[in-house]
Amino acid sequence: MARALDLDDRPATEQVAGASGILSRSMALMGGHVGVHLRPAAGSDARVAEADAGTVLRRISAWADRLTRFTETSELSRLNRDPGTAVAVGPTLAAALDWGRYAEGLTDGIVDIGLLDARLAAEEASAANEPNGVSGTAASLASRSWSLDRRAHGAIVRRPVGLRFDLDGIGKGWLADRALDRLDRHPAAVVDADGDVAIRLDPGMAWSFGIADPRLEAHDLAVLRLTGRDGGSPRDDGRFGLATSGTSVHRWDRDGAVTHHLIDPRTGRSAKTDIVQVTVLTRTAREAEALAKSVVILGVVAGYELLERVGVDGAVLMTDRDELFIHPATLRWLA
Amino acid sequence: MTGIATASALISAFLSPSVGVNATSTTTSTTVSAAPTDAVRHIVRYVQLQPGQTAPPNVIVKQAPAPKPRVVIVTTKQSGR
Repeated sequence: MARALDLDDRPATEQVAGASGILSRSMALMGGHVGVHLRPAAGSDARVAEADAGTVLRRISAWADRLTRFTETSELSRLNRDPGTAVAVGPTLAAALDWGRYAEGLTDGIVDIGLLDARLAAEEASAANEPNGVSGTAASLASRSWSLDRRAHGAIVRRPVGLRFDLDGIGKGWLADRALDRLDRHPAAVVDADGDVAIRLDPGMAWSFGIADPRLEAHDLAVLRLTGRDGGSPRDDGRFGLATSGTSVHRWDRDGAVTHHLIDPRTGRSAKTDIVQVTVLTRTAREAEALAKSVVILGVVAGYELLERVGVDGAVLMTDRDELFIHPATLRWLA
Repeated sequence: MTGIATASALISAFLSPSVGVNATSTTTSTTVSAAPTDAVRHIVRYVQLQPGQTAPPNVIVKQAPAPKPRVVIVTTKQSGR
């Protein structure tokens, strides 16, 4: 059942007629906030944009309800509870797992959605003030041994006994991209899944996006002014993905040692990293999210090599030495 | 606004001489004769005051246009979960 939307109740016509001409709607979801921002086409009925924004938010809510590990009734939780080694899943969960498998390849295995138990161990060890993590070798071997047999409607997940999945590290960007696909009729559209952002701008459109400063509340490290492109090549379709990851929000100081929620699949423990925060700009929100998390886990040197190898439209890295690294591709977007 | 003016530390301003200026379209014009003994005439038409600077006498102070407000649509951040 779709949950009630926590939407701004001002009439759409009032918002569209505002100085910015942008209609924005948001709701509390996935432990944070999800927002939809649209610029309606000139002369279009504002009620169309209003309806589209509401529809997309409801769809995101419905998808998130299937994919969360935080409710017992979600399809993901049912999969994780199922003792079977071959389990049928529906199309949404199948597509998300499929993306997780792709993200694993994109990031050389640093993104690993089979690490739920390692992550829970880190969280529980933090609460109990104990060393965190499970055997890294065991975690890696288990996570790489699952497969997905796609069917006409959904898929069959095949996995070792006890392997459980965690989509927290890859799900929000994926949801944002999926939702953005439903907003094609608007000249500019943004879906913000709690900081992981899918963007589409028609040629001539230019919108600015902030990168939060982890040291200062309500301050930006930088502002990127993105512009719609001509569509001369498949790469220039006006779509962007922007995502930020880091260790300064979900972290626990224990006996002088810092642990956090980003698990290194090579150790099964909180990653030891010199990065505080990374923002990645690329073509999709899901890729940006996966790459940002991977760079944090890898650290500055190996993380930057990954960005170079994959190719991105921009990146901003902040280290625990208060250094700021700006990927050269970023320069054209800096406002 | 003519005469002596004081610029606020928070306000950018442009200066231009009120008299005796041969108007050109350039911001700064310098004429230098080929002969080293000739006089050198410097014309400074516009100067942008830095915060805390005071305008000299006999200039016109113009307020710089306010910057266009920058609308940040969304700020990307570390997620809530």
